[in-house]
Amino acid sequence: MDDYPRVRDCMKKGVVSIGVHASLEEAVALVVKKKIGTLPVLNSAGHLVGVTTLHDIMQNFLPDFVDLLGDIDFVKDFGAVKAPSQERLKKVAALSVADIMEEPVAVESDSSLVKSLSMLEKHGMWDLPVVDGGKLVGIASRVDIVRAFFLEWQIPHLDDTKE
Amino acid sequence: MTLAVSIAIVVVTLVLIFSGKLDHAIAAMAGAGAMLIAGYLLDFYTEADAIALIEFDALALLLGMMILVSILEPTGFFQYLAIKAGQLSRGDPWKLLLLLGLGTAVVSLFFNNVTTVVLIGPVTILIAELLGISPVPILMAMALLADTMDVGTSVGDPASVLVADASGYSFNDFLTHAMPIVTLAAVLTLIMLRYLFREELGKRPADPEAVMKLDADEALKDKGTVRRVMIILAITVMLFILQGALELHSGFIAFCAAGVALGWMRPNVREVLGRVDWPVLLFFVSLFILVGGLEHAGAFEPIIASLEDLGRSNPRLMGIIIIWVVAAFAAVVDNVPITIAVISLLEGLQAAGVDVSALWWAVVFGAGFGGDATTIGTTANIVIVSMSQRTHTPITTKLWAKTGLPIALATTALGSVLFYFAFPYLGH
Repeated sequence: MDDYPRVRDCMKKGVVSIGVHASLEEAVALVVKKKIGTLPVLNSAGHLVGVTTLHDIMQNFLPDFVDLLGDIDFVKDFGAVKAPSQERLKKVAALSVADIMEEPVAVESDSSLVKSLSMLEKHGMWDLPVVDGGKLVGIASRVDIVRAFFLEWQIPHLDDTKE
Repeated sequence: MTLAVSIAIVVVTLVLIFSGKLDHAIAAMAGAGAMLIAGYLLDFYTEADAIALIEFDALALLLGMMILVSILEPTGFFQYLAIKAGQLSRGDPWKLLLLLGLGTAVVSLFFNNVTTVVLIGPVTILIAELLGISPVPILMAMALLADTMDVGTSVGDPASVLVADASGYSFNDFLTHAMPIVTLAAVLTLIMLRYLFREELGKRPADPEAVMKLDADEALKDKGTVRRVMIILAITVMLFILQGALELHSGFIAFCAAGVALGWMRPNVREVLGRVDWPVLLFFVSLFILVGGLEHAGAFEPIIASLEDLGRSNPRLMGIIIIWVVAAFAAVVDNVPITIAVISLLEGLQAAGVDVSALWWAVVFGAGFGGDATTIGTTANIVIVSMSQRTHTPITTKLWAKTGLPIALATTALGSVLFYFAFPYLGH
């Protein structure tokens, strides 16, 4: 069983990443420019040391009290808190990527698709960094992996759409 | 020897609780364990003695009410009430404080304050933030009014539950004796809050319409369960009122009510029981065992003997001393250990032939008013302070010293004065 589908066959290779010493402002600029949701964080040796997602970044702009509420469906209008306060923006500007990044979750490039998709599910992620000996070599999104799954099944109808 | 050991165990336990280094329940449980071991080794306290001292009626009452509130918790009922209160105020900060503060206090007459505050607090913060006003006065009003008023019923506060149990005073006795004085203390609390927070409460909200746009009905997730719990609660309260005539214990009523509720609604029992405040119940059991050990070691006899004369000659003064001692204790540790200890003393005095019928109320007032003094005086205070850290105006210890402390001193003083003048009425 050596020919099972691997994550390296479906991952994207030119990964946009950020250095661990970068500021949050730089991370935001990168997210805006590249339209991406997940930023792997690398140290100077190119090793993956963390992951920053849109969620981590945006948590810093939302007011803290939202966390206290179990549900906010009934809030139709945020009244006096429609925009982040100046205080908050100042606080966020002072943060660095290292302050908000999460522990890295990644798979080796020869991992199976099942393992990769399971990792995404278990950790509630959308994009999975792929490494070779700790060095970041690619990133595979849910769409990439699930698409590879479906192609692997060789459903007849898919032939028409195959690139 | 036995006396010294038992006192040392209690002092170490209380210091651990006070220091905040160890969870209340763990400290009390460890202390109770140490007391049982000492009792066994030094032969002054047996397992059977300890079990006989646990007030199962009080535990059944607390557990029953905790189960009822636990069933109610996920329905969104408390959020619904808070939103309605917010809308009734039309965004006026003072009206909002009155409605949410008194609403929380009324709910806490029957349910655990902590649960009430945990459920209503976040919505209070939300409403204040949407309006662009400070949530601090409202949050403090909720904690202070709930702690002050909940001793007005025999089921509202652990201390009043214990006093009701020991004294034999019924639910109605609490309504006719404790409630009037407690209500006056609540009025005084409101007047002082209005004055101390005059700046915040005088502020006009930035967006008064925001609160009107909240959808209370959407917050209410499970109307069917709310309706059923309300029916059971209404019957329970009716039985509390009739308990004297029916000769039923509060614990019996609450425990059966919880049983009926579970049978009627058949919720996921693991989830419902998971929300019950087991550490509080464990804390109680442990304190009964701990204080019981002190009693069996003979710690109370000399105190009772020395208080006997005062109890006979000047019970009014004794009552006022009880109020302040219990209040001081409640302010720095918790009102339960001191309540259990003073109850043991009063039972001793009663056995010696002293009329303690009015003195029971002194325990209730001290336990209710003292906890307001500090941020750690009651668990509700601790919860409110920790929640406020997530708002733009966190409650600091310094702020509490300027507001909560004077309110606690004033209500305890008022309680003492009223106790003095109402003494003949309280004692019959």
